[in-house]
Parts: sequence; C-alpha cells; structure tokens
Amino acid sequence: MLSTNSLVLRDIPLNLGWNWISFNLQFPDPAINPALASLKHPANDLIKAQSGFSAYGGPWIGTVSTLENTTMYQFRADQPDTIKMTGRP
Amino acid sequence: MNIPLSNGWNWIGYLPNYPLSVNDALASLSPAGGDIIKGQYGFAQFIPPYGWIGNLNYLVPPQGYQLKLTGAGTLTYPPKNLLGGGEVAARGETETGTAYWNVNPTQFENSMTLVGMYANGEQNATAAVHEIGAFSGAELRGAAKALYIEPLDRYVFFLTVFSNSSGEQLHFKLHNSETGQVSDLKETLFFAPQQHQGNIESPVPFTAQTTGVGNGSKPANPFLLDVQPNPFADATLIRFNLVRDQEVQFTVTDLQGREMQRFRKYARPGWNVFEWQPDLECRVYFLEAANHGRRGGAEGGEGVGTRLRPP
Repeated sequence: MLSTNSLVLRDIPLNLGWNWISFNLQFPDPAINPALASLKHPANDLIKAQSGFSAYGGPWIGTVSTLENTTMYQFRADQPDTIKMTGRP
Repeated sequence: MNIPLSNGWNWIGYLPNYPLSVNDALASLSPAGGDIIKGQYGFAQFIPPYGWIGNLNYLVPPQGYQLKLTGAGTLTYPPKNLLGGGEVAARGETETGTAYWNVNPTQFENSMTLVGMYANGEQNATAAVHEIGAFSGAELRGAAKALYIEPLDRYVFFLTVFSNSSGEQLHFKLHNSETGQVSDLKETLFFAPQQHQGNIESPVPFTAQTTGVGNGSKPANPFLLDVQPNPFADATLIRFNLVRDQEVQFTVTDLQGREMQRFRKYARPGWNVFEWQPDLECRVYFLEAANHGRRGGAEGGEGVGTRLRPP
C-alpha cells in the first residue's frame, strides 16, 4: 500500500472466472472506463451489479457506468488479472 | 459511511481495510432471525440470541457480500479503534476447502444455500466425521463439512451449491471420514439462484438411500417428487415427473400417519409444477404422490417429508 496526497493504491486480484469484489476506496473518477483502466486483459470480461452489468468491448459497455464502493460486484475474468485502484479511504 | 439496505437481497461492499468478524461487522444492524450474509465461499445466518452462525466467519477486503434482510436498515462498519477485542488478526476466509470434496466457486455465476442435516428418522445424526456433497450428474457443485453449533450441541451442514443455470437437478452424497465410505442420499433438489432453505433449529433433512421394496430393482422411470422451498410459510412449488398423461393423487399425512389432505392433479409427460397453498397448521407433514401404483419421492415407494413452518 502506498500513500501519496491522501490517495491510496490498492490491488484487487481477479481469479479466472467469477469473483465477488468490492472497492473500499472512493474512486476520484467513478466512471467505469477510467476505474478499470489498469486491467491488462479486459477482453471478454464482464462486471455485474445487483441490477445491470457491463461487458468489455473496447470500452466498457452496458448499464453499469460507474463503480461505487458501497456495493459488491461479480466480476467475470476471462484471464487472471489485477485491478490497481487509486482512491480515497 | 452508511450503506442503506432494503428488505430482501442487498449487494454490499466491504469498506474497512481490515477483516472483521461477521458479528462485529454487522453490529449496527437489527437483523431478524433467518437473515443471511453470503460470501462467495460460505454464508452465515442470524439466529437470535446467538448472533450470526455459519461457515462465513470473517468479512475481508476486497471481497463483496450479499445480505438478505427481513427489514430495511443502515449498515455502518465499526472503526478499527472501537473493536472490543482490539485489532482482528488479518486472516482469510476460513470456509474455503473441505476435506474430501472441493468445488471452485469461481466457475459459477450463481449460488443457493441451505442448512442441512444427515437425518436418521426425525433425529439429527450429523457427526463431526460427515461431509455432504451436492452434484449435478457427476459434477460436484458444492460441499460442506459438518459444523458444530455449540449453543445447540449439534452438527449441521452450511452448504453452498453453485450453478450457472436454474432448474438443474441436484443429488447429494455423504462422506464419512472415519470409514472412508461415500453414501448416496435420497433427496433431490432443483437449483434456484439465491434460494435458501433450513436453519440450525430446523435443518433440511437428508437421508440415506434405502433398498427398494419388491425385487429391489431400480424402476425404469422412477417417479420423482420435489417440494421447494421446504420448509415454507404460505406456499411452495411441487414438481413431479410423469412418463405419460395421467392423474396423480397427492396425500398429506401428519407424523402420526393421519391423513390431513388429499387432492388430485391431471398432468402431462415430463416435469410438472404447481403451487401448493395448504390450509394446515405449521407442523411437519409427509406429502405422498401416487400414480397408478407408483409413489413419489423414493425408489422404494416411500413418501417425502415436508415441513411447514413459519418463515
């Protein structure tokens, strides 16, 4: 964990397949595309919220357009990967 | 930060950067008996006055959880310095892995849960050496070792079953680590995402398969009967299979064998389903279906135990 200017960097490892994840930081920009920009292998990935989902098709496309830290997501990874998130605790 | 919660299922984020026991993490809630917190690898049920009990013991970042509440509420995770027992040691979830069967939850999108027991008659015969496995065909879909419930001095299974589609028929096996024996269990269930059955005071009973009557041979088309949810409060779904158009007679008896209800349904070949809303007191009953001499629920012709309980 690194701290700079009150922003914290955290890794969220993703296994192949379905992962139940949540973000315990507040994204400076909660829009899904910048929030998940750190993924190395997003092709064919999918993120599902309690209502709605988005799939990666170049940008992320779907009904999940922002990521919140108060909810969980089911993330289906086509390859093992890591979300490197920077945000405020 | 407060997380507003509705009645029913809530997908919640875990905000602390440190693990908390389920009871500490959810201390700000006023849950009702039977409420459920479910992780990817296990779950716990709120059982007053004991608290949250199950094989999900700790909430850990960066995992997410699903919380089923009877009433709405607001969740506020406690700050680290307010924990009564001091800092909780960092640890992973303890519910992963079982001694004999191991399923990989990441391969499945959906899950359902149940609190079950290995039953001998009406008695809970679950022991420390037992593990239950759930299967779709030959594929393992969930497993749970017996969990000791100290306040009740008995063992039960907290079983999470995984699937990628609804309606899959599940069958169950019991492993005894002392003898190494694996036994087929009689009951079958149909997978329904997010469904939950049973609690520690009334676990879903699983029983050993018995030898059939007559010559003991397996019927060519066993007549299967399934009741879900079970236990239930007001209504449940009854499913059964037929090989041809015919009328099926259903008989409900109590534990003393007294007939409480009898009704008939005309049904088609394949699986049939109808909603049943019995006007009966909340007790344990047996439901038996008969179609021209074949009786549902077991190859040996036995009935199916069905519990009617308040939610």
